[in-house]
Amino acid sequence: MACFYYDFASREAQSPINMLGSLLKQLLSGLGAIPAEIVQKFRSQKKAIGGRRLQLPDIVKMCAAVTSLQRTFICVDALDECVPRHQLEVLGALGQILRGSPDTRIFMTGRSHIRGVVERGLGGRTTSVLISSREDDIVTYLRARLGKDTTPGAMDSFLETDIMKIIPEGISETHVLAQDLGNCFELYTDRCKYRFLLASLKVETILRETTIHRRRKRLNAMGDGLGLGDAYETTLGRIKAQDGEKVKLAMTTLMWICHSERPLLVDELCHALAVEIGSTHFNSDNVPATETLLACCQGLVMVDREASTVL
Amino acid sequence: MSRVTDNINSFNVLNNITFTVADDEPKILAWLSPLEPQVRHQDICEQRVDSVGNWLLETKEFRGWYNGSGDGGSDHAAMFCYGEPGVGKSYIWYESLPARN
Repeated sequence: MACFYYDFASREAQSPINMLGSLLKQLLSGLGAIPAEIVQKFRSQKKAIGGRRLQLPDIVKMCAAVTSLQRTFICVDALDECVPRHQLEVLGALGQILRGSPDTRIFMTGRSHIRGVVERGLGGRTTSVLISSREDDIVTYLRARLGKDTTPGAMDSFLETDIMKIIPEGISETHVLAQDLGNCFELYTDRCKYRFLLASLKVETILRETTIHRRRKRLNAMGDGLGLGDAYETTLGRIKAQDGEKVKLAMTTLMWICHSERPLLVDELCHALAVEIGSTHFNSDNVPATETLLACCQGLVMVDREASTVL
Repeated sequence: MSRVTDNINSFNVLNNITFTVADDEPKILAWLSPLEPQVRHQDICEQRVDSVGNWLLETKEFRGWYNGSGDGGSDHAAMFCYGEPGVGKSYIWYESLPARN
């Protein structure tokens, strides 16, 4: 099995050669042996100045050869986040792998608008399925989360039943609100978790409270339609309840993330925060540590580990 | 087939490809691609919740894709799961992995 996750923040690095090279790498590392042809090419390219990469047709040929040895699954996530001009190239390459290896199965995900591109790119070999979050999935998710409650003393069966009832109901109502707030969501959170995210934000807000009474109060407030705004309000409240300087750091951080045109690298953000208005020098001792920053923002900001960007 | 270099210990021919064991395998793999999608993969595996999304396995599209041709004669070797942001697309495919079936 080989997986690849497209990510808007890493789009420059995720070229077709790197992407298919990564698939080949995964397929080979499961085998414990390498095609002699690749070994040969690797060793001869080392003689060239700066080395030379394996070319796309060679990578595709090798992928097809290796996948034909045994049943292989290739998963490609978030194809819509691939640079548009690379999409057809990658789909063409995947199509070639399929032609050389009839038992191979490819699983792709992406937003609806690229469905046509995917179906054309793989020339009629694609079946498409619409994914939506089902209420029973959200219920399963909530149950699993409640199972990991770190203060189980602050829970009883009545509260649990009500949580399981009220949160899924509230989500269908706040769905519209979520779309209105779309931009903020994308900034603050993992973009893949929209509806699940709403459920998760709400259940976290409740579980943060330490007594049954206080948890029920939170839950009831959500039932009144305050839902998500309330969850945000709570987190902002927690941010503001810190020491003055921490509040300032957190609010400035949120401001930078909200107003930046592209996802910021952790270093970029930290350097921006180090600048003091009126000062003509850059003081590297004034750069906040990433952990400090994340702690001050109380979970509203997170670092995309792979891309080192802040969301 | 002749020896490629001295560092190669053994040969194994499968489907017309000659496989070898190479001492510098880690370097060769790194040369193929600098990307490490395993990090994201790990996150998905940790964050997902068992059986969420397994309705997908019951659809005729999934079964046709998984079992291969024969169903209506069309061979859909590729499946595209599409949907709006945040519905859990990145998590659902984990459900479809062969190890889980």
